[in-house]
Amino acid sequence: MGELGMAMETLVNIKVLSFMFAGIIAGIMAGALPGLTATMSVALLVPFTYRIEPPLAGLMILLGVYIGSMHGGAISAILIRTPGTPAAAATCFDGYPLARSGKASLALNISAIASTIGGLFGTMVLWGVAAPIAGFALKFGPFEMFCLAIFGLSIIASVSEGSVLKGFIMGALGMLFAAAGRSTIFDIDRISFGIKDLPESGLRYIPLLIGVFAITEALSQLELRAAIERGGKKLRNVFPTRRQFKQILPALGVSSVLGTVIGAVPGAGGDIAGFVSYDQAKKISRRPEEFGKGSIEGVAAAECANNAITGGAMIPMLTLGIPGDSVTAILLGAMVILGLRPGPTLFQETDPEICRLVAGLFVGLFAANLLVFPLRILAAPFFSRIIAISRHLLWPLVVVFCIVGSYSMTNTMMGVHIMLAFGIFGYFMKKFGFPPGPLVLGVILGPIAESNLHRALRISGGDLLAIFSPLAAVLLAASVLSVLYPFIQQARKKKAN
Amino acid sequence: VGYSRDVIIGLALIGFSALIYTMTLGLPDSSSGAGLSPASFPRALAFFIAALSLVLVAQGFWKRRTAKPPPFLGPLFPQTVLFFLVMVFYILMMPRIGYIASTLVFLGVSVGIMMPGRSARDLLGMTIFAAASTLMVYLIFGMFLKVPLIEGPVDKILRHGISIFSGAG
Repeated sequence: MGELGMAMETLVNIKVLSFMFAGIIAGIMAGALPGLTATMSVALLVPFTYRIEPPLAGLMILLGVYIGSMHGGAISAILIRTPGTPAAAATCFDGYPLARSGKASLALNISAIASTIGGLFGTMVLWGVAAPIAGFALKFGPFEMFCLAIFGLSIIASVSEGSVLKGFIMGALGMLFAAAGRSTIFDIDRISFGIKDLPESGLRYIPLLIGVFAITEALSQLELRAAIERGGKKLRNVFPTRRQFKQILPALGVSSVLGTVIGAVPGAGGDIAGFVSYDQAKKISRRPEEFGKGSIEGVAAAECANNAITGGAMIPMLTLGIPGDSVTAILLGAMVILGLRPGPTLFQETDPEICRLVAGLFVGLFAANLLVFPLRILAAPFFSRIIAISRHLLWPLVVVFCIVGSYSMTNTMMGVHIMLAFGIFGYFMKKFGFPPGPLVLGVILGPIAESNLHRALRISGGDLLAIFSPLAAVLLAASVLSVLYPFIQQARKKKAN
Repeated sequence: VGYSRDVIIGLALIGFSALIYTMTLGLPDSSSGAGLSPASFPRALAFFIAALSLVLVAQGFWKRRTAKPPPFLGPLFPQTVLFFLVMVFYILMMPRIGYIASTLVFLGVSVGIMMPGRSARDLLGMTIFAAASTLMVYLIFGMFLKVPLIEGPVDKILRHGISIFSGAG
């Protein structure tokens, strides 16, 4: 409770709140623009945040962007049937028909209400379960931590869009890139391709992520001649009536729970949460025939679920140090740069500054979910015009952010060169159908896997069976299941067809 | 994605794995105690990537193509290559002429490359956009957030001007 008071005290600071506010606005704008994903927006901002004082302000801007972009995805999904983020894919089903029938503002406001309720629910669940899970995870030894990293890597099977095989190759490449340069375990230079003064892994991987996510996307988007569907019409704010609010309540209840649970499962992202909740909301609805034709329950279910996952996805990231998806992987890296160590020991910290930051993170997540609501409602007409921004203005500006951000990580052009190299790498890998998400997981989890396996081998004298525990067995079994699951699902689909 | 593309990238990845393996040969092979050696992890990864790439190549040869793959290059590929070259030039010039001058030129030129059908009015718009964006990034990130930006002659003049202005204020 003391830390909570401390966090409130730090949070109720004009600078911290202003940064959160700025982050939310930037996030909504980025989310609304198709092509600018939550992952890319967070990756782009990380280099700018670690110099901000107090560090909580830096953390708040990132949380603001994360929450804001999850909200923003609904705007383009509703207005131009193009989900701004993959998580908003299910919102198109009913959001766009509503907009076509002249109820765009109603759809946007319902999505704002549902997203806020989902986000707050997910955060409260995170508050409730984080400390007990972390307490349990404290019992993990190095071998269990290694198995946990393997489990984290096994979710590559679920986050790989297109080909699981290519996902695993990208994951392994990520681990390899993380192992390059000075090894902190062995104090030796490895596979550095003759490059001298390669920055240490923590500083190197942000330019790497900026390259893979932002530069790759910029080049890929510029290459396409996209049909521009302008959505910049002026909107008049229309709110749901009491009857309409009552109508969406069951969908909100189901989707909050489903979104949080799905978010907590590593690898299951907002798009899955949106689709599953949409389907369940249709099943419990009194008007299932309206789904797909402009149902307000459909919009509420999809949006509530894809925002509830933000709290859920933080559970494995904060308590076990295992990111559940690309965006939490980048947030995890950002937290490390800001001085936090997500994982079981996060809640054991005694340093008052770190305690303040941890408590601030929890309170901040709640505050960001609250603050985003009035912003969405008041500025709906402004945000609806954002999607009309021309691509030829947007992407060159994104490149400037990429270069300034990568430079600032190391204060040398080395960061920019790393970003450029990985931008080219990501662009070509995308052409060959390789997803970028697994690369991030590999970069984050590779060093955890190597260092813990090394420690486990040393402790056991090279005989891992001697320290094999039931917990390790469960984690390894879960990893095998996680890898096999997409194949089982594929086989089931084939059989059903 | 077409399976012939999988064969090409698979073979390239096998080559890359072989390169990594060769690079690990110079590393100490044994560790003090029973732990891993510095070479173990990268070497295991090289084998793993090579094995998966081999499966990819095999799939490329044996799987029948069911659908026509999407075109490898997008319709605006030539403009994108030009944009990329301007970006590389921007990165090379920044340490020499500083953030402001290089960014101003980069934004103006790159927007010009990607903009369909340019008129005199567009040219004016491009210049205003480039100048306003460059200044906005400089003020928000360089001055307010204290993010280090590479200084050139224009940056020094601007910084001097701002310090005089803020001092006078």
